[in-house]
Amino acid sequence: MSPDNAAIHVDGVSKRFDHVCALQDITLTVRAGEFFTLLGASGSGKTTLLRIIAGLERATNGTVEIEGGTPAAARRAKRIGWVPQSPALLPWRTVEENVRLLTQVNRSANRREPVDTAAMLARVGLAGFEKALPHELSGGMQQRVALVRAFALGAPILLMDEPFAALDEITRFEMRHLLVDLWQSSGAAVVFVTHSLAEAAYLSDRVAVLTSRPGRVSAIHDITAPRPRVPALEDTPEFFATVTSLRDSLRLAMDPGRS
Amino acid sequence: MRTRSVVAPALGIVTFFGLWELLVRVGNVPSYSLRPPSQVLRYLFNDSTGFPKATWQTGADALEALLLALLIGLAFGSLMAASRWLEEAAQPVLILIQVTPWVAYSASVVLWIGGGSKPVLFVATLVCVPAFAFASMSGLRSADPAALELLRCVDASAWETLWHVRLPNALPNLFTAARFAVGLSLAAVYFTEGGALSNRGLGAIGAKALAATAALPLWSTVFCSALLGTIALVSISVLERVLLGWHASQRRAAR
Repeated sequence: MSPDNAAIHVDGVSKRFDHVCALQDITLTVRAGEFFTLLGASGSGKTTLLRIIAGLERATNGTVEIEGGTPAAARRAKRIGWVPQSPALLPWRTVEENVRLLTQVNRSANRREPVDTAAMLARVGLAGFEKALPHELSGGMQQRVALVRAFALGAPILLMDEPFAALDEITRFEMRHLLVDLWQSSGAAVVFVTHSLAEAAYLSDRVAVLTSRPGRVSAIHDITAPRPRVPALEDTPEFFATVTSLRDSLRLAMDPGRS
Repeated sequence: MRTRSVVAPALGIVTFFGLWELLVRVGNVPSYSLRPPSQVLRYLFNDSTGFPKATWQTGADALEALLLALLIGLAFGSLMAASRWLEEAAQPVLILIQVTPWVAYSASVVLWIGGGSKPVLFVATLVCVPAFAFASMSGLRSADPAALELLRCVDASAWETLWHVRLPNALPNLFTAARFAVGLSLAAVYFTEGGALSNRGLGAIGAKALAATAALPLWSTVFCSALLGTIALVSISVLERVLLGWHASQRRAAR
C-alpha cells in the first residue's frame, strides 16, 4: 500500500476532540531521508498530527505506518527520535548525561555503533559545556542539547514539534543552520512542525501546508533549493520567492474565501 | 557575609542559653522543675552514667524508623502516583495517621506489641510514613510531562521512567519531608521508650527521672535528644547540598 521507500505513511487520518474536528482525512507519505515540514497556523492540528505519527495520541480514523509497521513497534525498536517543544532536559543531569539519556533506557534496542555525541556537541558549539547543568545554559543552548539528544539515538526518523518556537529570532536563525548541518550527515527522515515560513523554506525538501479547524493538507510544496544548504541561501532571491509562495499558500489555507 | 553567617547564629544560641541561665538563677525557679543549662551540662559530663549508650540507642531507633518510613512512604507514594483509585483509598488513612495525636495511643501499642524496641520502632515509623508518602506521590507525579513523553518515544519501561525521571524529581519533596520527620521520629521514639517498660534509650531515663522528679537527668535527656536532632538536620543539609546541587533551592544567588 505505501511506497517501498516510505519512512512514514499517513493514511486517511482524522482526529476529533469532543466536538472539534482537529484533523480531517490527512494522507501523506514521508520518504526515507527526507526533510518534511508541516506548516500551519496555531490550531491547525500540526502538533496533533505529529503526536499521532509518534503514537503518543490515537487517531479517530485512519492509520499511520512507520517503516511498514506500527508506531508502537517503531518506538520499541527506537526508530523514532523525538524533539519536544520545550528542551525537556533533566535538570539534575549534565549536558552529556542528558544527551545520553535515551540510550540508557530500553537498551536492547540500541544501535550497535553508538553515535559520537562528543563530536556532535562540539559541532553545535557546546564543546566545554559537557559538564554543565541545564540551568547554566541559555535557552538556545538547551535546545541544541535537545537536538543532539535526538540525533544521538541514530534513529532513522526524527519528529520535531516546533523545537525553536520559544527562541528569539536571532537564535532561531542559528538553530536552523545547526539543524540542517546535523541532519545532512544523519540520513534520517524528519517531520518538522513549524509556523515559521523561513524555517520551512530553509530546511525542507517538501512542505505540507495545513488549513485550520479542521486541519487538512491544502498544498504540498517541493523546495528545490540545492543541498547542502548554507546560511547565504537566505539572502538569495530564490529563497524570498519560496518564502513568498509559502506565505500565499498559508494565507489561502487559512482563509480560502478571501484570496 | 561569611562572618555574619557564623557569628549571628552563635550570638543567637549564646543569648538564648544566657537568658535561660539568668532566668533560673535570678528568678525563683524550683530546682525540681528547671535547671540552668550550665548545671545540666556539668551533670552530663561529670556525674552521669549511661547517657552515651542511651543516646546511641535512641538515635539508632529514630534513624531506623526514618529509613523504614521513607521506604514504606515511597512504596505508598509510588502506588498512589500510579493510580487515582489507590490515592483516594489511601489518602484518608494517611491523613488520620497524620492528625491523630500519637501520644494518645502509643501506650496501647506497647501493650499490644510488648516491650522493648519493637513498639518504639512501630510508632515512630507509623507517624513518619504519611509525610514521605505525600511527598513522594506529588514529587513522582509532577515530573516534566515533556520528559516523560520523550521516554515514551523510546519505549522506556515504567521502572526506567521511575528511576531516571520521577524519582530524582521527587527528591526535593522527600528532603522537605525528611526535615519535618526528624523531629517527629525523635519525639515518637523518646515518648514510646518512656512507656515501653524497658531500660532502652533516653526516653526510659527521662520517664524514670520524671517519676522521681529528678530534674538533672530529665534535662540531660532533653539536651541529648536536641543533639541528635541537630546532627540529623545537619546531615540532611549536607546530603541536600550534594544531591540537589541542580535544584533552585540549593543554588547560591547570583548577586
